[in-house]
Amino acid sequence: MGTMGSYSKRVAKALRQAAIHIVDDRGEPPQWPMNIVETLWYLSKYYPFEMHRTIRRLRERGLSEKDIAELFITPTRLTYVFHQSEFPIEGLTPEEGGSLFESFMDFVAHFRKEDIYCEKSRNILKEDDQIQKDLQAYKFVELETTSDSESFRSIVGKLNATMWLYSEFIQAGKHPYSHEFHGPYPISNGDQLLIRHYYDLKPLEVWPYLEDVPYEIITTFEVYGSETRIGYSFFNHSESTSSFPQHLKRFSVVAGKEGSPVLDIGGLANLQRKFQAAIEQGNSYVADFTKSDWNRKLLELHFYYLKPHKEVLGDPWEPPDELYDFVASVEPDGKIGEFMTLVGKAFAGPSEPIEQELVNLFLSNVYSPPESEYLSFDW
Amino acid sequence: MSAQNILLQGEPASPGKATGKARLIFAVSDMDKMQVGDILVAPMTNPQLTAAILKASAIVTEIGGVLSHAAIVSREFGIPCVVFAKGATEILKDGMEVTVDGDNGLVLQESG
Repeated sequence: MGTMGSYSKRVAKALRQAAIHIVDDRGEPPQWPMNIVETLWYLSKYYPFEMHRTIRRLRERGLSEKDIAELFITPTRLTYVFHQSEFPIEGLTPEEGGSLFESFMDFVAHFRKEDIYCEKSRNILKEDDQIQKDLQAYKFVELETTSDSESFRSIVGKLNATMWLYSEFIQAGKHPYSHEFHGPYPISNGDQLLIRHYYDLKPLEVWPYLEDVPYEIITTFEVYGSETRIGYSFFNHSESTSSFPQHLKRFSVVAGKEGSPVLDIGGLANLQRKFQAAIEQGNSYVADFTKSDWNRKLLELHFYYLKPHKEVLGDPWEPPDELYDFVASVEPDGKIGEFMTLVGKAFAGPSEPIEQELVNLFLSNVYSPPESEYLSFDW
Repeated sequence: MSAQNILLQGEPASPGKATGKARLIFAVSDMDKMQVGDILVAPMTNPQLTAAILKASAIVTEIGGVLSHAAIVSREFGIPCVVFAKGATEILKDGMEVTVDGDNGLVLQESG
């Protein structure tokens, strides 16, 4: 067992965001495709170790911190690592564990131009001049002068709901690994622009059945009035309590890398149907998945997130065979039950004490991890 | 305006009001009974229930908070949602006509 020395205050602040996230969900973790807490337990055995090793090798190769950050594509792919602190970071020394999480805060700060914790519900990734260019580059549908405004609002909302569900499906629950919602950006007349970027929508190496999915990228640009309250958290969750789709004033939907606009109701409905069909096809594909199958898939997906890094290193992105065997051989221990008992306190009583208890646990897991019980083989 | 009984009180997760027939969805095999405009009632939701979610005029779940799956999808979709409505799958019956008040976290039924 290592000893917890000093810890980074900004890492502690990020870990508090993870604690708040858990408490705001009333201690009820997502259950699909398996309990996310159990998923994190499995990942704790190998994933922080793999991220640490990969980042170290990229630095040895001479990549700058900025270059490494950009390989993660979006800030939210980085923030989800902070949930990994729910279990001891295995295979790393206390110094390495702290350094890994500190590096992730540096990487997040590379993307987020204002508040890296999104404490004011603003996820600002673009400068003002970039926003002005976006507004001029794309044709927008003006809903205040369109007779079909309600139909447009309905289909844009339905498309976003579908894309959110699709992201969740292809990322096996971790939906923000395929979307980055950013803004709100103030624009003229007190209006605000939201950008919803759905990306990596066709990971064929992991999900071969996605061959017919029409686009790898879809971006929606949505303009709302100042009265619409909407924002995004550290983990890219919407923090609006208002029903914002009904307040959409103008929008543009851009599909594909070439940026083809889809601006008519028929085209938007067709796009929505194609992604809904892909979810339904995926449901058939995983219908017979066992827990063991999902564990293998989660292993593949998490290594897939490091594919850009591995390409720079000239390594294959796929997990080694030994790791598949390892994942199949380990069985969850009592730590999962202990953690669930702890988060269960969020169902009752004031939230602040449970948040603090969670932060203390997370700090201990990051800065004072035990000796690895499992990572004894060379991979 | 007619009086309404409060059947359930949960947490408001997505605003608005919608009235329709309750459909209890426990598994993928239950989705066939879901018609456009029905109220989806479930212990919780997940992407396997996508076809049912996209037909729903409102969602009621027994567990979860404002960041739960049903809450987020409902806000994106612009339909009312009530979460943490304990006993929803026991108190609500298939086909029961109910109103979901997403502003106040209530599920109501016409009295009398």
